Amino acid sequence: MVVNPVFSSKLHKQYSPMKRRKLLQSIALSAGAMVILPSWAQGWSQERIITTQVFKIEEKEMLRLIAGTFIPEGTSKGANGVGVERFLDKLFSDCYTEGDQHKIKTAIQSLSLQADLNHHLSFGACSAAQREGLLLDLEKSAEHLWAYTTLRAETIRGYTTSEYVLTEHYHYVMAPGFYHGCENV
Amino acid sequence: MANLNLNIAKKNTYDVIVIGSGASGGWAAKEFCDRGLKTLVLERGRQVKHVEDYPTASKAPWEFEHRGTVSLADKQGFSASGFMREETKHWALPDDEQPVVYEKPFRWTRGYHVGGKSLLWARQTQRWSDYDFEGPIRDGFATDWPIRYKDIEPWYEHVEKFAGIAGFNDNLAELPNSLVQPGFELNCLEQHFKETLTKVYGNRWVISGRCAHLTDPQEIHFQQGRGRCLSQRQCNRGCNYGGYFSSNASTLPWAAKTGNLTLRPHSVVHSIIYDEKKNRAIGVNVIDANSHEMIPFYAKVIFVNGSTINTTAILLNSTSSRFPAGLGNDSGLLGKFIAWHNYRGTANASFDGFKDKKTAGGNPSNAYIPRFRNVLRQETDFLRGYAVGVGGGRGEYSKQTGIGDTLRDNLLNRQLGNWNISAWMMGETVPTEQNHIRLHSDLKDKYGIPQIIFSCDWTENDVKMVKDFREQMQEMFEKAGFQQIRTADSKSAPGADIHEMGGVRMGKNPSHSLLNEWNQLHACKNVFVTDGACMTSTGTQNPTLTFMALAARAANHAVDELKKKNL
Repeated sequence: MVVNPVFSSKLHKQYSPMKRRKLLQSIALSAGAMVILPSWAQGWSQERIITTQVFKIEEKEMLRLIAGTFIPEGTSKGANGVGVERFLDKLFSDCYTEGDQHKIKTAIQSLSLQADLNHHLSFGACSAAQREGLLLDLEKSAEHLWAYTTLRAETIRGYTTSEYVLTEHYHYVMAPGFYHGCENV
Repeated sequence: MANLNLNIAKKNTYDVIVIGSGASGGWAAKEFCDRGLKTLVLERGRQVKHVEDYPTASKAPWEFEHRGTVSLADKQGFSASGFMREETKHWALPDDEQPVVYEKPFRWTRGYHVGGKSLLWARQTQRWSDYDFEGPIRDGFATDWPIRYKDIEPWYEHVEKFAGIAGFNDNLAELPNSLVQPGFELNCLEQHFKETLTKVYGNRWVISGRCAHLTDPQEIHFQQGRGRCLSQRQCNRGCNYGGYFSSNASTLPWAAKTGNLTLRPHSVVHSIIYDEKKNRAIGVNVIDANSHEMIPFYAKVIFVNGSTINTTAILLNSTSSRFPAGLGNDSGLLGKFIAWHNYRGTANASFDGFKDKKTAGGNPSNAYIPRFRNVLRQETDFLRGYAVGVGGGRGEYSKQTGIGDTLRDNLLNRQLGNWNISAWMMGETVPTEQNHIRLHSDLKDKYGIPQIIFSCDWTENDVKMVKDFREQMQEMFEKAGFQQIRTADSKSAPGADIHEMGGVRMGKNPSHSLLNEWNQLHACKNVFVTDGACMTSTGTQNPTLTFMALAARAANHAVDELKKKNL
């Protein structure tokens, strides 16, 4: 669902939170679309409306942990070592629809919840093996499969297009200045 | 008031007006400026200065904050946003710039900025031969070309020398030799494919596609400020080295250096002004894209190089009592016989060999098979034929399986894969009267110019040709011992090839064509069309080289005629 920020702030001024939510729901229904009102719409405050950040601080931290779990640091740099979390934040914020952002946020919430349920720990406090297990559980869930696949694929994209991987591991040269069509390996 | 108008007219008067700054318009401008004529080039889009207006030309992948993906905000107002990339989004055209009506599906790519599509082209520069020019007369379609290879041959050479063409002397009748600098060699797999086809067929030649890249720049290229191609292969972002030919790197700065060029961006041409008393065109009505003010410009000669569809539309919109159906349209054929190239067929395969070989560096060109169907005589159940683009290579890949340390180690462990080869069809389409564009009687764009209606479709001949391409590629790949052969028909809309041609075709007979052998309107001799709109038939070659040669030839003819006071 696309909510025009100007329109939203008008709603905020004129109506109580409950009324706002009801009104938004009726707008969504009248638009004739299958729209699930995002859970964060309940918690709207003036700060949230004016901020341009899609992900909360805690969610950004989760993006960092997820990228670092898929591709951890080792003898070579991992995802966090090349800043994949900043790419994910920027990419999802600017290039993904609100509906897709919502799916990612829900998957993140689910990871935190499962970490607590399974291990009585925050996701970040879990061991690498525990975090990997939690991510792999996400893959098995019909609800979160898309988010898992997306997080994994975009983490790999961010990592393999980083300056470090391209120049240190993939021999990237922008302008080689020559072409040889058939040389010995 | 009368004096004021006179002053404006004087200020806005040039020897020549060239509409459009792309490959063909840039060539016309260069020739006119070189020969001392005050030349006004009108470009409907914004200025793009060589190097300084190529914001992404030398950026590495990691320097793009979305790594190539375009943000939702930047996609607003672009219905073709699925094709947009972060690296090249600044060339994309917003929908509201020029809405059009697609009566039948068509994909129209436009380059609305200084340099036009010369910044975005594939840079392939194969010459035509008489097997192409004589196609319509031999096979009984369209109308006979008023020129032959001998007429254009010196102009191919003229253009090739200045632009710089990399390639080899292949000595083929169906693809005459170009004036070349050292070419990009075939790789092991393409060479193997070449040897197979030579042995098996004896009339199917795999060559290195000739391309407008400098591999051995000469003094004339250094004078343009251009240097050697460094195989960067980010050409469609603009090239900071001037390694490939574009109007921006080559003809326009050259023309500017003469002091004879005036380049006016943001100038949308509304129509050509025809003077009923003088029986000639006297100028061009321009709508300033910023102020939306209509401003007339005047000249003795007008070159229309606005790209095939726009050039045709400008003429259709240039009505007068003498030409109620569009300038020069006595034949009633203006806007008709639109044709393009059939790129629907693709094929690919892999090869389990040459394990000890790889490529190194970068090839900005590709391999190429000139047309081999129906060259000497009609031999299939469809007319004409197709050239084939061929690209082989051996990529590196890394496994993307696992999670954690395994995934990282897999990703960092890149290995050479199998050799792969792909081929794409470049088919000649046979122009028909039904395939046309026309102007909408009511709908207008934001400049008040009538919207263009596209009514172009594939014919049975095109479908048969795709089928033959797929069968022949299957066979050729099998003979070469390739595996995992797949062929496909993309069924893409016409125009996806970005080689639309025709609409203002050349011909000998004024009742069957619009332009004569010098690209002049039969019925209004001081108006010339030398872009894709002039094409009587399409050949199979990437057409830009031919447009450029025709533009240079026609411009020099116009100067000669002006000097003889014939224009």
